[in-house]
Amino acid sequence: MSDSADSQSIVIDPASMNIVNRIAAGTVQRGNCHCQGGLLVQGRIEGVIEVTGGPLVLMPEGEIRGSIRADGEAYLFGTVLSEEDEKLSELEVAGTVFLAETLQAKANITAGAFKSWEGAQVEGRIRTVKRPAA
Amino acid sequence: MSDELITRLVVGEPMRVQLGRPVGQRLEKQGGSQVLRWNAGAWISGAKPKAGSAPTATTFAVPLQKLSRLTEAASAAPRRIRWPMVGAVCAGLLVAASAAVLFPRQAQEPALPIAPIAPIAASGVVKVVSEPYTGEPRSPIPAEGLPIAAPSDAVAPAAAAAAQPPIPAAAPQAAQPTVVAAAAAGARVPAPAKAASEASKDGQPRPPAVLLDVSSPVVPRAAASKPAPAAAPAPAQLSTAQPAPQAVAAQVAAARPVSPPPARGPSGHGLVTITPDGKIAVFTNPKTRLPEQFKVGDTLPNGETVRSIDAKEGRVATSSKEYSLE
Repeated sequence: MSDSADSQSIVIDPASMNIVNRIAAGTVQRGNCHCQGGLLVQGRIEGVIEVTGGPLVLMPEGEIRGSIRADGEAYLFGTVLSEEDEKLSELEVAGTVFLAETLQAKANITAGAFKSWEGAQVEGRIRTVKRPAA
Repeated sequence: MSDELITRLVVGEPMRVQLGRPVGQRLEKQGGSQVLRWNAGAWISGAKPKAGSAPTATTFAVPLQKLSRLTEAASAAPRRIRWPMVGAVCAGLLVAASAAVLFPRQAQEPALPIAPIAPIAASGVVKVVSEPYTGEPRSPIPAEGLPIAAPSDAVAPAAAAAAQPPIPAAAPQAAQPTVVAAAAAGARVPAPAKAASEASKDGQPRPPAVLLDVSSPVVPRAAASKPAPAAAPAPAQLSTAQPAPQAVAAQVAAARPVSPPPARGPSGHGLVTITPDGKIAVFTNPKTRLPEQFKVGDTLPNGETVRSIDAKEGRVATSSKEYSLE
């Protein structure tokens, strides 16, 4: 993460971050998805999503909907859509959630910690939980 | 092919993504006081001191937690100190200290003033009589007729011992109780004769020191031939011919021997004496070893009830026994 006078950026390195799963741009995935390793979303995925062993990276062009659970960190640059019945999506992250400036989420987010940047939009409940000591 | 290559092929190369301007407190660059800055758990002054000047007083090195505790203690101190209680405590300490100082002094002081002992020779009203005290009322000693005793006579221990009003039959008759006790087992004791002899020697009757127990069985009286000599010693036990009941009791109490009481025998000694008018009989209480007076109808310490008192024959009949004087 580099600091500039006003904004910050981060380098997402799939190899070092163990991101081995990818939803390419233009791809729509519906259903239950259990990912072993990080998940990079550049397309759209809906349903019950579970990511273990790696971070969840929602790229600026990516979209997520449904019930998402990650045991690592979550880098949210894209869009978290509400469900079809206007019910908020549920996002549960054990680690830190990075709310980037390009995030637009209609979900209830539960995480161990939050890091926010100016411009992030979240409609829903934000809740932090006490993480067990490492 | 390694996993990394596959990952790079599948996922892609590292990519930089913008996060934006972070949201959070930055005291260094935005907002906050420019005088005090919070850094590493301590407040530090933001004003830069001039070159060569001493550190300003606005630098606080005390951590916030300790500072809060100090402020709480300082603010709470005036509230906790209650001056009325302090005054009461000081007053209590003062009273205790004064009491500790005064009371020992009072304890050391004698309760009664000790009067100086006046010498006997200087009194002039003391008559030294070297004869035992018999209890008879003496005629008043005229003051002018008293010889002034010499200091040597006054301080003579033998004369002083003889002049003291001893307990009747205490010292000179200390041997009699044991003699009486030894003979009380079954035979008549020559104590009455001995008492009679001593009485005849002194010219005055003297009661032998005998401790009689009320609870012992009554021994039938001896033959009628001996009532006369027995009657003589019997009054001799009373020490005078006309003693008052109270005087009898007092003399009997005074005649109590120092030696242990005689053994209880079949004679049943318990009756000490009978008043001449026959109204009161004196018995010895076995518990207290003191003589007590009983009238007809009274209950003895052993539970018996006095039915009759015969002064002439020296008998006391109770509900179960008959006591007699020797």
